[in-house]
Amino acid sequence: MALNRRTLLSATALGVLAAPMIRPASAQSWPSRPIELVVGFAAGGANDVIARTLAPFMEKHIGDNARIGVVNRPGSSGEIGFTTIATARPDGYTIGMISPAFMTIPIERRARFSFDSFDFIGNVVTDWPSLFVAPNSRFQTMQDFVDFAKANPRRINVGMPGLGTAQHRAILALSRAAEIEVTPVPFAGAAPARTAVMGGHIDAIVIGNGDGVTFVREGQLRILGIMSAERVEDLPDAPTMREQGFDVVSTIDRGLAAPAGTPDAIMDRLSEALVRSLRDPDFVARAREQALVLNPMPRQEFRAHLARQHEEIAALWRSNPWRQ
Amino acid sequence: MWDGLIHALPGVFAWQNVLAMIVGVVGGIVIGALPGLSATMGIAVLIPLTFGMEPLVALGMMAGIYNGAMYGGAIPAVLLRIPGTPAAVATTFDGYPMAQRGDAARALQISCLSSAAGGGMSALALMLLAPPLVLVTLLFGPAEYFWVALFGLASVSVLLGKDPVKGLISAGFGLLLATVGIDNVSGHERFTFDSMYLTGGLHVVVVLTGLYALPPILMLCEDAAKRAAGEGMAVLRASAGLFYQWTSFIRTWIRSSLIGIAIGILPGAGGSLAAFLSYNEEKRSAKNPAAYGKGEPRGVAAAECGNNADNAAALIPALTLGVPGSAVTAVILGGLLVHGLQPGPALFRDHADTVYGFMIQMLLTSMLLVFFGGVLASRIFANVLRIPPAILAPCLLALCVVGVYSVQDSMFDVYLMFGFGLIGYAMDRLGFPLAPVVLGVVLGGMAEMNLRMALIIAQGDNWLLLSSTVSQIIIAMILLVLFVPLIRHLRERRREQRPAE
Repeated sequence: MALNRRTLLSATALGVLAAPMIRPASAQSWPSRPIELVVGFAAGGANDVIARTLAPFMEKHIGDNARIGVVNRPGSSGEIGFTTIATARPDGYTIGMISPAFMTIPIERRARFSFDSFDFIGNVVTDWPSLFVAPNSRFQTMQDFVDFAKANPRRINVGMPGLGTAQHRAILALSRAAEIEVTPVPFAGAAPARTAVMGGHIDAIVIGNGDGVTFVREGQLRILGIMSAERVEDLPDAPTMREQGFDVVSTIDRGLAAPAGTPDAIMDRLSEALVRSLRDPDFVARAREQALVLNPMPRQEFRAHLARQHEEIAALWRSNPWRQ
Repeated sequence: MWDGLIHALPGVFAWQNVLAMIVGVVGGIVIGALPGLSATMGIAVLIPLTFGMEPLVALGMMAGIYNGAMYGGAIPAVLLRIPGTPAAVATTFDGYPMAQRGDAARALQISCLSSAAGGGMSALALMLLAPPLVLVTLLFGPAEYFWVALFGLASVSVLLGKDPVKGLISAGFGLLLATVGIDNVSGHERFTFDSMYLTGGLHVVVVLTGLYALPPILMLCEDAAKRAAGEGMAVLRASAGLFYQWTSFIRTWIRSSLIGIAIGILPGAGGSLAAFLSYNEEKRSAKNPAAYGKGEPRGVAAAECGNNADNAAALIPALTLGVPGSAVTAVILGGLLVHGLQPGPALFRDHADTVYGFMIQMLLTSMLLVFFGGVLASRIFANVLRIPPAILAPCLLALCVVGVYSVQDSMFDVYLMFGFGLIGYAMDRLGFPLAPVVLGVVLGGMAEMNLRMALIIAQGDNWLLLSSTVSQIIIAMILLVLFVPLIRHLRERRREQRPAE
């Protein structure tokens, strides 16, 4: 019912858009009531924790006694949350967390939103897919992995956290770059995949680097390559795929977005507040505790980054759809 | 390890932390007792409030809610045949008949003691045996999990009720419900009717509340029409005291705790399977299996001990491997993260005081259950039965709506609950047992997904599914569960025939 009301509201919002006279006034008095920060995942999960940690800092840097309330709209791998953001009235009072699934869902299936339903406030955290194996694995380097895969096509089982995730797409991109074939195995999240490779049930996994770092440090996993452009601070000894001769760079970005059509003045203030929050020493300290890699990217840069990624995903889907 | 535990002790007994545990336990019991509200929600709501707290205060409350809610679920299960949480379904089998004969307070006290016993044993396992038990977790891959799920489904045979055909239909219905949503392996949408709300599948709490909570409420309404307005439902017999004959449950507790701990260290199955299997084993090994389902106190003890024994044990893979085995452990991991505690092998070394403190809190909150659970149960909750049905039914209905809405903040789920309520009412009236549906929903998805992952991993060599020792042991257990009753039955029949010859 909440959503029906929301759809009604967004219909009204179209009316508001048609009368541009009203908009500057509302942008000037913004924020006069609490801003909803929609999270498409359940309370207590990683996305929720990021949003709730971030919210007070955003309040501080927006100023004007801004208040932000985190609202959880979980379900369907974030789809319900993304729909809530995309169909909300674009008045600056609804913003939300986005993760790569917001780009893949409309490509995979009919959804009530598309890439263009959003306006982007900025990026918050970034992770990179990495290829991990068990410590006793026969693969010592990426080259061992590729040689074996070439000799035994589809023989290597590579776990990943779910169909169509950035990690899954990274496996497909790596296979293309290295001209190999492996068998991707979809687990229900990164943790079960990680446990399965540690237990020797599968040969390798591609999960977010952040999901594997502590296990690499404790010697329970070995990293063969990280799909970032440069080496990362958390694991300075881990080689990138690129430096080993496989040109695969992929990112997993979580940021903030608002419904398309939100007044520019408000978007600029939100974006500025976000960038400042991410540089706030208190927030940086909290993020470090939670092992998050902050990657501030303001409005325009984030949009360009996502648009490029969206294009790549669409191209990958056309050449190699990962589901029927 | 001993060093760690002893070091952590003073922190745990700081007055704020003791207070936090007490608040958590009492809050948890109430949350668990309200149908639709579960520990998951209670802890999720708590987490943002704990941002500014000391870690041990926050964790103490979480431990309290976790253990308290697992017991709290038994309260409506006993009194009204409405399981407060999915794990309390097995508690209804014998708890409700006990309440009907006037022993509600006694059943609640047994539940309370058994919950405390199970929770305590489980916490000890977490404190003392976490490292070796983690190695056991690692032995389980997709193939092994498939067999575990199948073992759980095989145990459905005890839940079938008087008419096995109807029981099997119920189980099939549960398995069907488990297929709703986007298929994780192929990405197909199944039975979603193009609705975005169904792509994520049916939430077990929604199905459970609809099937289990609404029919008794509807029956209360019927009752209300028949009775005089001021009249309560049941006579209440005074209980003989909390510790009355407690030694007679020790064997049950040991058995059920071991089962609960074993299920706990396997992420994915959770407290409901632990309770079903404990109940099952208790009935199988009993001298008087016929008394089960008619108000046998040991049945209540087994179910409640089993589901609480899952609690702390489920934290073993969660803390050391970072694998949350259930919704509730996932939320607890989130809570740890907020306080800078990254799950994983380094946790026990880098944050020893906090982690060992949390383990001690899991043990202490189990013990607190005896006191608060016992008092609340017999003094306050049992009196719910004195409330006239005309007042009780609408209150319960409102609670169900609020509870189900809060699961995913979704009105759609509330409508689904009403739909399942009608189905449940019809099934109840037509004599279809409801427990197999719940088991099907809980285990169907686990069985299917793991089977298909195992088949992908096997790459055509399907014998691999049988190749590990663990798989072979579980398969042997499945065969035992399926054929022992049959053999026993045949032998009895032969014995009956012999005198006639």
